[in-house]
Amino acid sequence: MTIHQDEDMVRRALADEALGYRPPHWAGPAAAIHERGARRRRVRRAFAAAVAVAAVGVALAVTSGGAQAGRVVAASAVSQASSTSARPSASASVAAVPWPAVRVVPADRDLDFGHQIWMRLTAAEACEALGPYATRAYSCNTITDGNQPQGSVSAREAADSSGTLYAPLYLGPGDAARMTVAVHGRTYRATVVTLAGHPGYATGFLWLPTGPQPPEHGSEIQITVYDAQGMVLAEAEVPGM
Amino acid sequence: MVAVTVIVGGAETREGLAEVDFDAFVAAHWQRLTRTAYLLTGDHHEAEDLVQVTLAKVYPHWARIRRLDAPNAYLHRAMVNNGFSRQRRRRARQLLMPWVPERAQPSAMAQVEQRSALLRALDELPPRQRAVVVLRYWEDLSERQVADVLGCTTGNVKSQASRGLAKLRNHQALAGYAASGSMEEQ
Repeated sequence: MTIHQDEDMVRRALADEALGYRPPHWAGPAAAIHERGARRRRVRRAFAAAVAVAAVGVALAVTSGGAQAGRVVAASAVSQASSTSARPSASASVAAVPWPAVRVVPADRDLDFGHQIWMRLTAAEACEALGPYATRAYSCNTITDGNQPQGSVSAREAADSSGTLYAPLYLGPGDAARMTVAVHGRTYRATVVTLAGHPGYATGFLWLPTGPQPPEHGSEIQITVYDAQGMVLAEAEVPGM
Repeated sequence: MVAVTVIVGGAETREGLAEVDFDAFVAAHWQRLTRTAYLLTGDHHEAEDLVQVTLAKVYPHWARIRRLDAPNAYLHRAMVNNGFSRQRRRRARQLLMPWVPERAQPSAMAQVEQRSALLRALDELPPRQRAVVVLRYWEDLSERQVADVLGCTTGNVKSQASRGLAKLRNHQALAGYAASGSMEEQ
């Protein structure tokens, strides 16, 4: 077999494999990419501004001969940059952690999200399971039976000895891009999962390891769904497990 | 004051135009890029995330990148480098963790079963060799272009491609293609 035949064989094999995979439509992840990119741009600008302020401060300190003043200005500029970059959007209590990317997934596939979290989404139902592959048992919510009103979010929970899975389910016309779950007085960012080509619902997941006993007043779970611009699409407060 | 207002408005307009241009460019290349990432990573979730992260990194600099002779080459380089970094981080995490990540045996078996034979064959190549094979024979980039993307010499690309082909040639994943090639010759 010649080198050209080898190359041709590999070309055909790669093409078959690549073309057999159908990526989601660009419109799905576009909002998440814009949001991530805009956040990077804000951080970059804040950093540039901080550097400029620090440079001015140092220049002033040098010209006035006051090295002490220069250190103070530079330090305040750096702290300003870090606080600006850490607050990209709506919820202040969750601002320190970046928003997870929206996962656009294919229909009717077993999806492994780690921590033994499984999901299987179709146009008709959203299923989630917690446990080993062999014994996982999906719990499914129908999207189409009208039990959950449009524009609302419901909470699904599953737990094992190591932690709890929170899987919000949003139904409605909005494009869900972010979800938060407030548990025991703390707000966490869930990863949004949407089905490629089937807007109209979105689910998500948040895994919290088992911690110390929660305080009595903290048993309510608050779930909020936002679009890419940070507008609230739906929220719900439900009793925890 | 007026001058400042005009400049700010202009900058916003330029950003708006760049955004439209970015969307159009990515819409045209999205599928190809994601498929390339799929061959590089062997996992469609990982591929989509890799492309998303790469595009999010490129997006703030798009006004500059769009003026390059080959923005596509820049995108490829960014994606391949991101892929290498993610691989290194993942390997480091696995090395640093004090325990072996627990995985249910049937799950791992099922995942291996589900993976195509070709992806398993690609998994056996070192990362840079895999990138050379994918860029050269799926993206159809020239040796010079692959060298630019990977930041190495064309000689290095040639040798990596040659070794990659040698490994894949006798792999059972390509047995069907070899047989069909022989049939066509007859």
